[in-house]
Amino acid sequence: MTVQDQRRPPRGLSYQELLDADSREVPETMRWNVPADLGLADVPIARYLSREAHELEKQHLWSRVWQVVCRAEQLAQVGDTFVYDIADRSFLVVRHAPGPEGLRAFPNACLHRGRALRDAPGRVEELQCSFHGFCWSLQGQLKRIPSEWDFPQVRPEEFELPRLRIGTWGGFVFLNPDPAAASLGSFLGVLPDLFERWPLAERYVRAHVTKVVNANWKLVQEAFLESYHVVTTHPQLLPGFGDANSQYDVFGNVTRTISPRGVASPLIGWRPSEQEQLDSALDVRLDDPPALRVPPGATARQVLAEAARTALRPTLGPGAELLCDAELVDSYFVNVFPNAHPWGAYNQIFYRFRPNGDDHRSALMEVMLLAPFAGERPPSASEIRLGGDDHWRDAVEVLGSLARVFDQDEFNLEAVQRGLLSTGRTGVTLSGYQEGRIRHFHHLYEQWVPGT
Amino acid sequence: MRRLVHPLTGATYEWADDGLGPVQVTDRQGVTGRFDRDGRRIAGELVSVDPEMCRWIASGGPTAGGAAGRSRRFETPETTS
Ligand code: FES
Ligand SMILES: [Fe+2]
Repeated sequence: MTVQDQRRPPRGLSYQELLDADSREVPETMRWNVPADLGLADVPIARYLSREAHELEKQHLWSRVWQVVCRAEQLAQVGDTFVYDIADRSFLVVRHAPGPEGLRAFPNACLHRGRALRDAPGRVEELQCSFHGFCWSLQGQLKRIPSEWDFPQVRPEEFELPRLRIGTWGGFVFLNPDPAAASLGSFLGVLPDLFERWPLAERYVRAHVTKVVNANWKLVQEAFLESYHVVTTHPQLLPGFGDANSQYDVFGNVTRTISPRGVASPLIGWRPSEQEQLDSALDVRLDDPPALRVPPGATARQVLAEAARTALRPTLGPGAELLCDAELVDSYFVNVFPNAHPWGAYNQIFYRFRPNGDDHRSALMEVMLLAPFAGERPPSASEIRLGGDDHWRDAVEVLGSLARVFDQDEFNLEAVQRGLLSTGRTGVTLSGYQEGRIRHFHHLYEQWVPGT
Repeated sequence: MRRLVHPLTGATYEWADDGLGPVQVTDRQGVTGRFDRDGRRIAGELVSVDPEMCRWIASGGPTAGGAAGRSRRFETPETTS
């Protein structure tokens, strides 16, 4: 059996067949259907556990790859700075002028004796080191040195802060420490096409939560690259979530899953009513008042789509009418290698996964909700930081029921790390189709990080 | 009681906040037990349950709506309060 054959779930419709029943015309990009076909080899476990792999990632991945720094609105005003830390390195991004060319990125280190130039984001007029007072302009030119007579070897024109590659897409600022890297545009490939109908630059940060998870960053990330885990990790979703009907695609450095909602999982073996499918999607229990009702002859998908369309009307205006049901209802999750996850359509979710500082055994999982707005841009939500012993549900006020879903995901992640340390095996086994995005990640990873 | 039927096993999971473990589970044969939020057994005859379902029930709390029930896509009458 090939990966191509595996795309049709054993029971139920393929995702493309589901799109045929949509009430609106479906965007062309949702018709793209490109599974990863990368064989069935195991992924080496040492890649997740060894310090050596982490050191190789620092050397070959984080120092060379395009990566998300922050949202552009965090660097909106001249003088705004942002400190971006990845593994053991720190970078400083500065807005020195308005417009797309007005951003600069530097290693976050003073050229005198090396102190980090800034410890945290904030607005400044110049970049003065707090140790001895060496000072640079926002463009990175040396402005002054206390007791300049004592540094006869320092020529101001040779003492500019070294500039790093920077770019923007979708309201995100990207950075690449490698001066020889290919352009951001070529790296992102089809990503702008996928998001053409849902411009992420026109969103604001409605919620922002970062949590320490006690597992390698790749293990944490991989729990968010497939819908295969829904059957046991999120059983409550099954009456209204077509886990096995999901479509998985890969496009260069970008991959995606689209999982239909408002349809029942083919795995449950019984047929929920449309109302039961809707209730499941809204976490309505047997004794709860119904949140929404499915009118006679209608489907759960239609009701969910209409509720989402209604919520978007105040911000999107007539544009909301053009959105198809699938865009309004389904889980559409995208990954940009190596670690950024903007969700498609109006799902609003953005994730990023990183090592927790220089510790390869724990990760930072960052979640933003990016909501559309009308009129003036609302202020960004401030970041909530949760530790390794905290729970996602501690952030339920800002993340809603999503925090409870992450709580279920988190239940497995430390245990995966423990299990991999205990297993006698040398590799992890992946499925051919549904876990194809994880396999694709490792396919790219092997090209970037030789020797792991 | 906020009851939810496990879509695969048919067991009923419900919130029972009386200090005995927040999640009460009743299997198809009517055997019941009390469990903590991670599915660890506290009391009762029933021994094995789905821990992820217990987490879901416990995090949903005793009443419908509110922040725990809020969808990221839209508001329903119960979640706007
Ligand atoms: S079933 Fe997937 S890790 Fe065990
Ligand atoms: Fe999950």
